[in-house]
Amino acid sequence: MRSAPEAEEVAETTAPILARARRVLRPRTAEEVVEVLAGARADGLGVVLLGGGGAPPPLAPERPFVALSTAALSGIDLYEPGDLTFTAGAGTTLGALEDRLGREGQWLPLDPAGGRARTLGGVVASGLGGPLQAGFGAIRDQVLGLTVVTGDGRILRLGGRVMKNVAGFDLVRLFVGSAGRLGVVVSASLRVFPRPRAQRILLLEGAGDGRQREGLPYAARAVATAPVVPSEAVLLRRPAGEVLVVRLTGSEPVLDAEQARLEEAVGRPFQTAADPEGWVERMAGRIGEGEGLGARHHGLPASLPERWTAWVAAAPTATLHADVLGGTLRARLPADAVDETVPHRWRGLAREDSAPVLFDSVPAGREALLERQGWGTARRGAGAGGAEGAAALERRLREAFDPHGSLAPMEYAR
Amino acid sequence: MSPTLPRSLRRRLAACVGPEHVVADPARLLVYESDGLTQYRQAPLAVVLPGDTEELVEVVRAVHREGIPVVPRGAGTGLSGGALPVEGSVVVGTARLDRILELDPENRLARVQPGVVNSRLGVEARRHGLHYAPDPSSQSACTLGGNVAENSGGPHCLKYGVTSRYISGLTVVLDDGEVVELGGAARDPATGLDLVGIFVGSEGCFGIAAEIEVRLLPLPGGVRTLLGIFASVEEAARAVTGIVAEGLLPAALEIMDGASIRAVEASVYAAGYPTDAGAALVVEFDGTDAGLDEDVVRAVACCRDAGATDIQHTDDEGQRTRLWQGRKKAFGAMGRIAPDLLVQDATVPRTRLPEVLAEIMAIGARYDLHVANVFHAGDGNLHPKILFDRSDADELDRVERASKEMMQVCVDAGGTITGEHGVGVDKQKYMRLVHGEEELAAMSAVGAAFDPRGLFNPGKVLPEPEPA
Repeated sequence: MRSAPEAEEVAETTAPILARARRVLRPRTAEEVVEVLAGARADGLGVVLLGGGGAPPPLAPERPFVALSTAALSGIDLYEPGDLTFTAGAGTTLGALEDRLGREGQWLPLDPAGGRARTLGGVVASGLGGPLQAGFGAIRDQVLGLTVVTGDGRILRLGGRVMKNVAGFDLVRLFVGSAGRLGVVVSASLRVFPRPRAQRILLLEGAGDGRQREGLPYAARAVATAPVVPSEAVLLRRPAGEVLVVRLTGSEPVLDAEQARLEEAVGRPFQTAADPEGWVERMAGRIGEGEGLGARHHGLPASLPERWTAWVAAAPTATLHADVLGGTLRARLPADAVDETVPHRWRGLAREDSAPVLFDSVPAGREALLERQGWGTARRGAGAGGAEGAAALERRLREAFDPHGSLAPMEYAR
Repeated sequence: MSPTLPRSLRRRLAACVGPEHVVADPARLLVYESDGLTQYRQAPLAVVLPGDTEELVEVVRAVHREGIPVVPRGAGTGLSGGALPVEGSVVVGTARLDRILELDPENRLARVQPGVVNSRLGVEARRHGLHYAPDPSSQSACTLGGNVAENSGGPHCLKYGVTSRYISGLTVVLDDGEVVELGGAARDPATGLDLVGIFVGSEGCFGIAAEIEVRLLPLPGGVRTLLGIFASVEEAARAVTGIVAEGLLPAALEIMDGASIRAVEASVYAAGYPTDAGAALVVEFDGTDAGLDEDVVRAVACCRDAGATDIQHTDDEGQRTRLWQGRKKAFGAMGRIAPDLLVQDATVPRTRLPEVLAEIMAIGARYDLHVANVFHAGDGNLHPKILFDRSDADELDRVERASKEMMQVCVDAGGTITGEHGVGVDKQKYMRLVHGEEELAAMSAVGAAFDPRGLFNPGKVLPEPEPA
């Protein structure tokens, strides 16, 4: 614990949690991560993992903790464009990867909230790759191998750097999306894709009410069921109004043909965005900065119009963002618009098959606004005992990797 | 004395599934003694074929109550011994669990029982303009339950990915018949561990999938298939490198070597490939029709630059079948040359393919074995096929030793010991080539979280612990 350098500068979004950390440590190697975990355990402290500070910070745990920043675990260790794979440290930012891959005409088709500032380790740990996953596959399908340090301090090298690998149980999958509950991601190998030759952003703007059959949520459904798969499609509601944004990638003739198909399905012409990059950022976007209340309300894509309409009615001033193809709806309200009735109203939007997960980024002192959230349990068609069985499995798996609960205090804000 | 099925258990199983669905007669058990990897054989105590989830749960519970292991079995087409009966086990077959429970085109999902044959789901999905992407070459026989257990691949996973990408939820039967729901497309993926992801590829060691929720994709608007003939595997591999460097993403990139071509052309499956060729490359593009012709033009240029002696391409379904014929029938054609055929499976980083292939051929020559290669060139997945006669003890020994050396070559090149066939009983001995003791212990601990008593497919996948 003594040898890992302490952080000096601090990203603004992580400042509140760092202010409460006993120490902030930046290990440079897997071995130093082991030391940090061992030191924290010896001192009876929890460990909170921090990426580059570009993501919403984790909720501050109740017990004293040290913060483990992955910022010094950065850099691309291996990149073979001909293999369509790379290996990089957990602290490497998506921006750095995008720049390097771009020089070879390749890319990592992920657009998580927070964009270029996010770290590879943070995105892998969250398992949330953004709406672009609809077109190119989820991040859990792109990760080929991981080096992790388990909560109890073992260094594991999982998977590899080949496209197909079934040599034993797929522990890589278990760690992707585990939100740091099993261990610390030190480095990751992922597959990359050739960068599309062209892209086009299609826009459809609406009145903002969203309730009529011809409203944008229904146009979004038409896009989701059309016989083409766009790279991503996002429904946005901002103070400026509602807009459906569709991203197509490929060659120009493909873009023309797919746009025509989608217009036929929706029954209206799209506008073509003049500033595609700006829209790409908005689609990936965090939906609001600073203090506020957020929610994720996932569900089957076909239920999106109903969920969207309910959210518009229950949270008329909130920013809304829905991944049309993936089915996840996100909402966000600035702190000054949040009163004590809001969390209650938002939770009331739970449906039989899906419940919203609320989170806040309200820093220390205002946490009473929202009681700590457990992991969601909404699942489709869960039979009697089904959900409890899955929870028991998760408990046993956590015990297998973090038996002392070193990482237990960490609760990712989503 | 070999163990036998306790009479009381047999009665209970017969009462549950019907006596006609409990197989214990030695003659009828013969077909269950091995899977597609026929060099291993073991008769189970019995084979039980439940007809619905309730029966499946009851069967697992009854067998586990006796402390008897369960070996799950789909169609038995696996190539690593995953469905090989364990001594003293009861095989639970999914043949009667073959219903497509729900097809939901609105959400592009289907819910199926584990015994549904892969290509049958494809046919049903097609009615809705959809398809199920993973296409292992046994797809006309293999089951989705088996695909889940093995995390099966296929020629089209370069673009589409393997089985795990398409499994969104599972209802599984665990130790003592406990039923657990894992995942589900309606569940927020950010709210827990990826239990579906770890179950897929667990080779029957965690439990049995009773229901499978799969993701479907819209059928591609068009398909173009290209066949290039080359003087050598190196040239074909260079064409593949060119195609990747061009930024093209074909649905499939398949190479067969000269030995495979000659085997096919000498068989009833003859596809008209020139028998003096060193390699054949099949490239397939699919997707929005408007872009495909341009992709073909660029791929043809890559083949020509790499030295192709002949290039054919087509958008016609019948022609397409013909161009694929040689590739798809290669295994069958090999089968007629020698009494036994071992289909190896390994993956290497794609750029290392030419050198690894050369080494594999050299190993074959050194052990005086007939080796032919068919491989998924796009993702570096090799399938060296070794022809032999198991009644020749010396040859069998050479096959074993050559296989081990081939695995070592692949691992040394940064690859792994199996890309899509699984470990089963065949690759346990190679697991330490790619995993350390800590990693193996972690896998074992994960297995124990699902199957604490080790009563599902015991003795598979993980190697015996090293003696202290």
